[in-house]
Order: sequence, then C-alpha cells, then structure tokens
Amino acid sequence: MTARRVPVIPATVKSNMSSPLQSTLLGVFVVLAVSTLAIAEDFEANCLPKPGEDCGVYKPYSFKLSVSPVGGYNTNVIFLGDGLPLPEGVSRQDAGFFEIGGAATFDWKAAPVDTLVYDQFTASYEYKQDFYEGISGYDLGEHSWSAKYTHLFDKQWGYKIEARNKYTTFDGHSYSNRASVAPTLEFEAAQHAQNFAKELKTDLVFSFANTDVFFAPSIPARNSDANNYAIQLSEVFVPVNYDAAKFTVGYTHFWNDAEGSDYDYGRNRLQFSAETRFSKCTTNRWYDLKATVQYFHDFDSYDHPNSHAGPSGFAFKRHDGKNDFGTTLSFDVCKYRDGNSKFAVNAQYHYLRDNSNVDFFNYGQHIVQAGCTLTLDEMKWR
Amino acid sequence: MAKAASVFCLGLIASVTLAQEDRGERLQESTSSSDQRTDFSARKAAPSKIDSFAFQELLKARKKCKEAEQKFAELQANYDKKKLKGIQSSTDATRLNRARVKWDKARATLKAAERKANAD
Repeated sequence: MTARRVPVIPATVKSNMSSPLQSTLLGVFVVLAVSTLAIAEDFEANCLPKPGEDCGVYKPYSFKLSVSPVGGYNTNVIFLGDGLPLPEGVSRQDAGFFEIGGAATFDWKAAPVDTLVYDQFTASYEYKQDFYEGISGYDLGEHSWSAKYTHLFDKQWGYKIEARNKYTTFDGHSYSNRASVAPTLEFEAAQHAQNFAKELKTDLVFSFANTDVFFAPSIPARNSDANNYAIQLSEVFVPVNYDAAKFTVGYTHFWNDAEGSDYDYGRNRLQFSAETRFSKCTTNRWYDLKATVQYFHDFDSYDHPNSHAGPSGFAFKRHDGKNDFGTTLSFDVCKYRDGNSKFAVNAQYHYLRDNSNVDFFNYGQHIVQAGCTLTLDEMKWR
Repeated sequence: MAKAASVFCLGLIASVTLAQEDRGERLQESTSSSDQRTDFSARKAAPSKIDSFAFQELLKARKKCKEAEQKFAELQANYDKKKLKGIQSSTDATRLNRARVKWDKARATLKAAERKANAD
C-alpha cells in the first residue's frame, strides 16, 4: 500500500449559504409542509386492503432508484477535542450542511418452491456527498458498490456473502478506499418460539476489510492503512403480536492491524437497535410512519503508545469509550400499490461521544438533519 | 540573513505539515462516523429480503390465494355446467358464494402481505 500526497486544500473558501441554521430550517420546513398532504381520515382505516384483481404474478427482477436531498447542522464537523484550540486555517467547528444521497439497486430472486425462495442476489451502488458551509476541506463524498448473495438451506438455516467497496473523497480529492467481504451464517428459530416471536434470528458474521488511505501521514505511526477483522453475533426479534416492530442486539469484536502503530487496536462493541411503525395495519396511515433508535458502545484498547499522548507524544497508550446514538423518523407520503415507498420525508438525530484518555480524540458531536427521499420502482419484470 | 530565511521556511513547512496531519486524522474520524448515520436513499432502495418473515408470509399468502382462486374456478365451472343442464341448487350457489368470499379475502391478505414485505 502506497500513501500518496494530496495537495493542501485552502481553508478560506466559503460557500454561498448565508446562515448556519438555514439548511436545517429549510429541511424541517419541507418535512412539515409535505406531511400535511397526509389526510387525517387516512389514519383510520380497515386493516385489510381492497383485494387486487387476481393473485398477481411473481416478478423475480427489480431495479430501484432513490435520491435524498438533506439539510442539517453539525456541531463538530472537524472532530475537535474538548477545550482544544481550532486548527490552523479553520475558523469554526460547527456548520450547517447540505447532503445529497442516491442509491441504485438491482435485485434477483429465484422462483419460489412451495413457500420458500432459496436464492437472492442484490447489487447496489450508493453515493453520498456532504457540503459544509463555512468550512472547507471536510466535504465528505462516498461511492459504495456492494454485491450480496443469500442462500437458504431450509426455513431455519441460511447464509449470506456480502462484498463491498467504499471510495471516499474530501472536497473531491481521493481520501481512502475500503474493500470488505462478510460471510454470514443465519439461524431462524421462530418456529420454536411461536408463542412470542414472529422472527427470532441469530446471525454470525465474519468480516475482513482492507483500508487504503491515500492521504500521506506526517509520521509513520499515523499511517492508518489497515487490515480489519471482525466477528459479530446478533439477534433479531420481531414480536408475534406486533410485527411492525423489530429489535436487534449484537456484540462485535474487531481487530485492526494497521501500518502505523497509532491504529493497532482491539475493539469490543455492544449494540442495540429498535424500529417500529405506529400501526400494524398496512392500510392505516400510521403504518407509514416509522421510527428507529440505535445505540452502540465501543470499548477500544490500543496496542501502542499514541503519538498524540502527552506533551511530546508516545507517553501512554490510547483507551477510548465511544457512545454512538442515532434516531430517525420517516413518513411515506406516497407509496406504490405494492407498498414500496414513492416519496418520503425523513428526519434524523445523531450523537457521538468519544471519551478518550488522549485529548485529541476526546470529543463530542451532535448532528440534526431533515430531508426527503424520492424512489423510482417502476422497473420490475419476469 | 540566509540562515534566518531558511529557519523561517522550515517553520512554515512544519506549520503546513502539522495542519495537514491534524486534518488527516480528523478525516479518519469523519469517515468512521459517517458509516453510522442512516442513509435513507439506501434504505428506500433496498429490496425485500428472502430471509425476512414478511417475505415468507407473502409467499404463504400467495400460495393460499392461488388455492382459493383454483377452488373458486372449479366451483364456478361446475355451477355453470349444472346451470346449463338446469340442475343447479341453492347449495351450489351458496358454496360458490363462499368460495368467492374466501378468494376475495385471500387476495386482500396477499395485498397486505405484499405491502409489508416491500416496506423498508
């Protein structure tokens, strides 16, 4: 892996946005304005929809496109440690931002045999670009390609293999490339727990990732090129009497083997997530409102003294405890007849707190954002 | 004079390098933080998954719908045949009506299951 030097990006260039909160407020306004399109009577409906003309045709191929413009506000764009002065050339740590995201997904499913489809293949491309106002050099861009194959052995056992590549840029300049592969073994135990679970799935995931950072490190210890290995165990639960909710708990252990000594670490992650719709009847408008919460805590132990530790560096090893909390709310304003979203409005809050014994990495960050998603799902064929 | 100038230049280079190294590590934090935020376009573009209970319920509903459709078609053909011969009874009509109601319900259930399977 060869690190390549990227030209220094001037920090004085500013965008045309006039107020730090302007983009956030604009996003919130859009959410509120469009939500009124949902008529109140739609929230009181029968549980079974009007029947279709026939039992439909099984369509094994689909192609979906989504685009999401978002406005938001980030309290710590530059991940500045608590109480530390601003880095040279940066005049502030917080900023409003505009983000544009897009995704294209191709999907194939094998023909059903009785009540089971045994094979599925999904390929997707996702793009995301942030534009921060008043701070230059931190506009993140991401291009992700992924391919996933799922095979079920029977109603209980199955496996998945997912390969992904993510290419990252900042202000349009190459920053890093991460390639990963993750095989998963899954076991569905709902048939042994029919009294309380509609879905009770255990996933065991092994993953390997290689990260190549194109940004030249100032000293060899800060070279973050790395191989990352992980093993994850997670449990997904859907209650039998309210299948519009889903709960997930998980544990992951990571090993990061980097070229620079600052980035050799072991990480234990405990995570929890929950999502729910506000009705289990698909005809009820409350069904189209979905909330999610997710939280994880990382216990990070670094292997070597850190180059930022102490006045002259390398005084002690870095230890981090990271709290990451996120919550989202989305509402499908318009849907296709088969239930796919056509136009949705979304809001998200994300909180990150890294409690580190190294001042440089001891920071907090809040992000609020709101936007909408347009999805094109017309292309289905057999 | 020359010495002073070279010291100044070295200081300038060190300062630029420091700023750059600072930024490199902050960008590292930024990329890992970005992974944790929900990407709505990816979520909405995701297809239904064959290993989800919702998709499997959709397949069950489709199977039941096909069975109900077939049953109704059989009874309808039988009823039409009897009607031609003029031997249809009220029991036949009731049975046909029940099959029709069952098929309607199966189609409505299928539609609900399809909506659940396709919701993100």
